[in-house]
Amino acid sequence: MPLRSSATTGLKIVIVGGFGVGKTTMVKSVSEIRPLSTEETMTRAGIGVDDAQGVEAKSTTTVAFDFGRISLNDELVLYLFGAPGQERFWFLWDRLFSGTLGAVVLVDTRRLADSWYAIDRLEHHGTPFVVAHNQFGEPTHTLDQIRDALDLSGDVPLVACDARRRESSKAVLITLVNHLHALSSARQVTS
Amino acid sequence: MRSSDQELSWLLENLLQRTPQTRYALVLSRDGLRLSHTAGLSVDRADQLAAIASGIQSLSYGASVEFGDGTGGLRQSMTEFHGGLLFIVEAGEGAHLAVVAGEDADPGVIGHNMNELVEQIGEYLTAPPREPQQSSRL
Repeated sequence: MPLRSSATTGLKIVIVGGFGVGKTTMVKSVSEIRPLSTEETMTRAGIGVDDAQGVEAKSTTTVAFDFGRISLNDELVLYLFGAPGQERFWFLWDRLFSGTLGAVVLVDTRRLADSWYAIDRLEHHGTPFVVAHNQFGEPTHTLDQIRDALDLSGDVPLVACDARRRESSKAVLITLVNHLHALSSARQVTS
Repeated sequence: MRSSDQELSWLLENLLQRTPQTRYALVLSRDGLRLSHTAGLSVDRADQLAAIASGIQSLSYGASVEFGDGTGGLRQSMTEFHGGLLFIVEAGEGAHLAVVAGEDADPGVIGHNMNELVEQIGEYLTAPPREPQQSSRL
């Protein structure tokens, strides 16, 4: 789908989270253009390094970043950058975060600790974010339990999603945009 | 270290010796892990170079799909930075060969010698896919 000529506002958004949580899937499901994907086959060299426990069916992994685009309405277009999950690619994150207005942290309750690094980095950068619980099958934890486990403050939105579904992923992004809007309105009131 | 690994290291050292201005050579898996490298490269820096090179190759593949003939075929990636050059070519299945050289190196010679090595021993420079459903906890 070509970019509408009415598009006036572009927001750079990053999607972060641990290895195998569904970042690439989310960019692919929601993008209106052919997504750039840097997925590579996981090789035997990664056994013992890339822990696929809990996501044994995973056969590929992102080695640079994903890129996609979605127009939320006539004016607002989001440029989506999916970060790579494994530690050896974290050096890319600083560049990816530069110019970023907001982030989605994807979490998987089977591997919740994997998301701590992403949340720490975003807090350190002062980048606003929302947390999305990517549900693999029947949910086993409530959002409140996840909020407690992640020690998230009450003003960080936390939602459930299915990253494979376009409408669900889009709803997460709308939550983020609304959160950014609320933060910016609050700043205007206080200043 | 298996004897084939030692032979591979020796072949990589040999590549550096016969190619002026080259500093390091590394064989990496497509998912960004070091397989074999020359002695001058520390393990930490080999890990770093493996991750960088896999990312560059994957982005180059994206450029080929979008702007090439549609096959996604990739000959080599080359980066010229202040103080050096980085070359990456596809090796055997699932693997890439990377070489770091000084900035005065001759790109034609380096590319030629790298491709020559891959032609000779590419079938040994491989990183096969993991078995489906294979857990890393073995």
